[in-house]
Amino acid sequence: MLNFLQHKLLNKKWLNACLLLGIVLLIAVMSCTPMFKNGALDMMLSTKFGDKIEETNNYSCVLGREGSCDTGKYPDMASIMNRTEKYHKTWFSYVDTKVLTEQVKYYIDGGFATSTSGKKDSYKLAYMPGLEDHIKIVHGKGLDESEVVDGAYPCIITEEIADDNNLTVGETITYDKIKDSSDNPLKFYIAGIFAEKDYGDYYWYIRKSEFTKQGLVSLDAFDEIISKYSIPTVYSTDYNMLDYSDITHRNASNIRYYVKEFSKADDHIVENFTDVIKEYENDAKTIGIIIWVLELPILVLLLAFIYMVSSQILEMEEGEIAMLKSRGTSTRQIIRIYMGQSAILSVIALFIGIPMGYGLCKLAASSNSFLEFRSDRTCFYGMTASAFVYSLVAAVIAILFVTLPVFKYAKNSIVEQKRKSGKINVKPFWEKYFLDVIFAAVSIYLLYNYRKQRGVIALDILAGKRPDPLIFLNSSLFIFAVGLVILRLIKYLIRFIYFIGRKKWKPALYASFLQITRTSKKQGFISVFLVMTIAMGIFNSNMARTINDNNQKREAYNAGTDLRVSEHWAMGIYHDKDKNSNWYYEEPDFERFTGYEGSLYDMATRVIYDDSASISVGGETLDNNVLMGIHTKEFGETASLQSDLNKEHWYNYLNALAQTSNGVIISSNLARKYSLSVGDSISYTRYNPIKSKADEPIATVSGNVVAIVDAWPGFEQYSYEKDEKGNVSEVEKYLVVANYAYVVGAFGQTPYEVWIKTNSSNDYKEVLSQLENDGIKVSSYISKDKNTLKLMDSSLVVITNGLFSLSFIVAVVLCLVGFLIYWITSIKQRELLFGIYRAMGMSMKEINKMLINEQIFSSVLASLAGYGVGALTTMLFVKLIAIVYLPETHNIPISLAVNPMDIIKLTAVVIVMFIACFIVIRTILKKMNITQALKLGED
Amino acid sequence: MSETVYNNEPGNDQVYDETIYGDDTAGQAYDEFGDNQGVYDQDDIIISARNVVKCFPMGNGEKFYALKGLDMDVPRGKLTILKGRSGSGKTTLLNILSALDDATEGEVYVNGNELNTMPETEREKLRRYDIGFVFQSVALIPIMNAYENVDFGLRLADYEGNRDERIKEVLDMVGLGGRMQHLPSEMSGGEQQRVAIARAVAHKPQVIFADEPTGALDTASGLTVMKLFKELVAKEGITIVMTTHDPNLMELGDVVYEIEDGEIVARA
Repeated sequence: MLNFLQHKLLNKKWLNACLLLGIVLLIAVMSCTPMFKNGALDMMLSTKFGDKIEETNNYSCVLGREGSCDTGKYPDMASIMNRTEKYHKTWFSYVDTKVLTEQVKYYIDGGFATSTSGKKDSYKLAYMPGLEDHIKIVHGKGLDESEVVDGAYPCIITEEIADDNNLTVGETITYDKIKDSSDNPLKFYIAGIFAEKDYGDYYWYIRKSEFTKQGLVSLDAFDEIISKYSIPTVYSTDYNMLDYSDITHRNASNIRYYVKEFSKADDHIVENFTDVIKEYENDAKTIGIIIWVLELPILVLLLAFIYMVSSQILEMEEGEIAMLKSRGTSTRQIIRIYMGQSAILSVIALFIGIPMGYGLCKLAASSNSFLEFRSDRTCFYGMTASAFVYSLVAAVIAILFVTLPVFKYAKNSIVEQKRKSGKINVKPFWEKYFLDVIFAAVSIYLLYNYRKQRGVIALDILAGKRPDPLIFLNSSLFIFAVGLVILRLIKYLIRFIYFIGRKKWKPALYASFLQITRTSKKQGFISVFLVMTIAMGIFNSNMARTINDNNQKREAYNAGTDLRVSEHWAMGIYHDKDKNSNWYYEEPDFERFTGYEGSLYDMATRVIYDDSASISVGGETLDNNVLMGIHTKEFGETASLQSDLNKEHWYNYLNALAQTSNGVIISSNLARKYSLSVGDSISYTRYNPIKSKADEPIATVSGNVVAIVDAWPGFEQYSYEKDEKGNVSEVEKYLVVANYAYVVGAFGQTPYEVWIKTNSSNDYKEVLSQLENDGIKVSSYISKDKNTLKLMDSSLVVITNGLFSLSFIVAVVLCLVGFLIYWITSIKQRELLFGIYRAMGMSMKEINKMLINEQIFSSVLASLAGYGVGALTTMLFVKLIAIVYLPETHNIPISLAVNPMDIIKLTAVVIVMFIACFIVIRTILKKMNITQALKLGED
Repeated sequence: MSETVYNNEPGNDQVYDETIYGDDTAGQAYDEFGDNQGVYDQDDIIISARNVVKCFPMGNGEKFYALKGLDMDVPRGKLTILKGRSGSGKTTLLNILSALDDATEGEVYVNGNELNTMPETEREKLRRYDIGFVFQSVALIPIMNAYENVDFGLRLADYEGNRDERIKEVLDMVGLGGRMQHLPSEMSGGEQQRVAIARAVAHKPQVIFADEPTGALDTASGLTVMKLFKELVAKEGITIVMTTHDPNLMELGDVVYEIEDGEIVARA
């Protein structure tokens, strides 16, 4: 049996190789799915943890306990620390992550104490294991170098505590109430003052600046104090910084469950990451759905390919099957032969397909944009058990699809086969029942509905709900249905052309027209393939480009310039004679920034950016809006704005502002709201920077509207707020831009952002590190490049780019191979026909002409239809689907982005396909001998 | 059946040596029938073959001689039958006479023009305008119905007159006037063969070549076809060259060549 199958497979080795290719690709795509999904999930999870670190400026994956310990039960530090260890053991037997570092503190609350200088204050005494590794002593000595002096224990304190309380090295502090058995009070002296060694060290979960008044002593000292002074309670804080890279799609949910259980059992437990995991779990569903939805068209195409090749093989073996039948082989036996055959192919395909799936996964993960790849994204990891399961499922499906057409043929005996073989011109079922038109209508109806609900869709996405997969699938349905409709129209067109010249067509054209119209069912398949591949290629590329392009544009707009940095400004408060507290800021020297112009970066300018200003027009006040104070000339040179967003170039508005000292540029939504126009006046208010007095206005000034703008660098017109129920609502923001000097004059000197335009030689990282090296402490920054990069690394974008690129590559391979085999088998099957043509005196030239004509009217027209359908789908669907990726209403509306290179690449592939095909056909025909061909008919 | 099959039959796979069946043998064969040359006027000979040799290379590097240097003449306006068993070489000879295939050696004259030295384009023209073909089976173009099949032949031959009338005329002649819109797959073998004849004759060629036109047909259909051929010769003055292995048909031919092992063994 095996020998027989082997012989059978080798007999049609090219077609079977194609079949193998189809199955390999199916298995590869299927097995790549779970790998890719898991990679994307892990990437998303780690991005979420990373984002939270940036957002909160603190480590985002901490598990610990804040509690107390009765010294009656735990008399010494050894037992107390052992207790902590026990907790750790319990936790980490469930939560299987590495601990990067732990910040543990044991302390006693000693109450009031008096310092040498006579100041009374409450102090804690604390011991932190391993502290010495994370600090440097800036004044005095470390604990290891100090000794108990005069009964006073040496301690070290933070810079901040020293500064804020005017404490210096050597000062002794005596507790009022804590005394030993001989009634000697507990005393400690300040041996040293410390700072953190590395500010970015994860150890500093509780920053040293957040330490309350406390002295840190050595373990021995702390142990002695507890027993000597009969301290009843030792408090502890214990924070474990978990390595979040150990939390993956596999264990995330378990970890969340365990930590929740710990918390239920012990309300002293502290943790800050189960929310992150919960959010991840929610988003993971979306990722899973989107991956399937994006992959579905290519899977359908692959199955269609397998079905097509299998049918092609069967058609050629039809006689063989009929012969087997008439010799008494049962239908079941025949089906078993073909199943065996496809099983052999599937097993081979498994061996090739799984590694290929791994490769595809890596390829998709490294896609940076449509058909653009970079190699540095490595967080996608390899084989999973589910990849094997998916491969096996794919193999079984492949076997089914190969064997499916056998049922059609296996029923026929030789007599039925003879009767059927001549049948031509059977209409495909979709054409007969107008399924194409029905599907197209359904798709257009759905599209119409979704377009009406755009706003709702966007808000749902923003609220974190998973997108409706039908939005995506509908585009595939549209491509498919409209592709078929156009093929139908092409057929009508060909018939029409044939009809017009039916009396005059030369033999070659006459034969080719009849060939096309009479064998349309066979050609239909490859035509559908061509249309689908090309249309999908165009749509996918445009979709990916549009998402990437709009994302980048929006990031660039939101940032307003390349880099915005803020420094920490010292604020002073004084009380005037009326006992009012007043504030003032010390402006750091701005010259430090201008000094870099032309070297480290191009330009720098001061921008006051206040997003809690109020705007009043005619007695009505709008709170929490944006006020910008700018130097018009420098701002124009530093900031950037896409030129097509406003009616005029934005420099004109800057010029208008420069000419009016109390002038303001306002956003067009404000102008519309109050029917304002240039020349009208508005007033705006800033509020007290002291947090507790934030609702007290500093001043309210009026401004003359000199310009109205639709868009402005760094001004986002919409923001989104989520309520407790998780509903998201859109909040509109208004903008007032005034002259810097006028704003400072009216509201006093307040912290500003420094907007920096970088040059080509230094990126934002280099700028920031240079600033830091030169002693400029940047407290926060916004970088256009960083934001864009982050966006490109977001799992949704990676998935989309990856799968679109992947689908396209697979589709092109299928199309190329499918097209070639279609034509080769079509020519092979028609060898006798060509023999007749040649015998009747047709020249090779005429035969070529006939074939070219056939290609033009079937394949070339179908390809053109593909371009048309792709363009149409792009116009109708891209903006709708882009909402899923860009749900925010923005000053920059979603615009279509088309990269001509994509179309050129695609066209190059199509042209290569046609040329390769034509060369192969010519070679076959050249080898063909008339008399040999005619002999084929003599059976 | 083809020569290769013949060669596979046990006992028949002897290798022919060129020196044995060289010019001498051919000349001898020619001489054998030389005395009959005078029967027809030279003008009435439309095709004549002289010393035609056809050999095919075989897998083992040796050569197989399908035709061993034969001479024959086809009289104009007559039905010439090439008779022989399967593998005798009659189809090879027909292919060479009809400019479908080249002779390895020897000359074939059609209306006095030598085929072997004729460029392929000229041979194509010859096949297109002056020759009609009827093949053993499936000779019709399956995607075209009866009408279109005939039409295609007329278009190929640049038929000058009214094509529509001519198509109907020839289809009526073969008795299929009522089945013009039928596709080959919707017709019986005999009907298909009659359409093929209609197509072969439609553009009024000088010669019709028919390779086993009755081979795939039952006796009744075969006789119908032969009757048609006789009529064509009688009424339209067309020359017909056909092959057959059916001894019953031989008496219908004006001239009959009997071929065996690549040589003409009898002429009647």
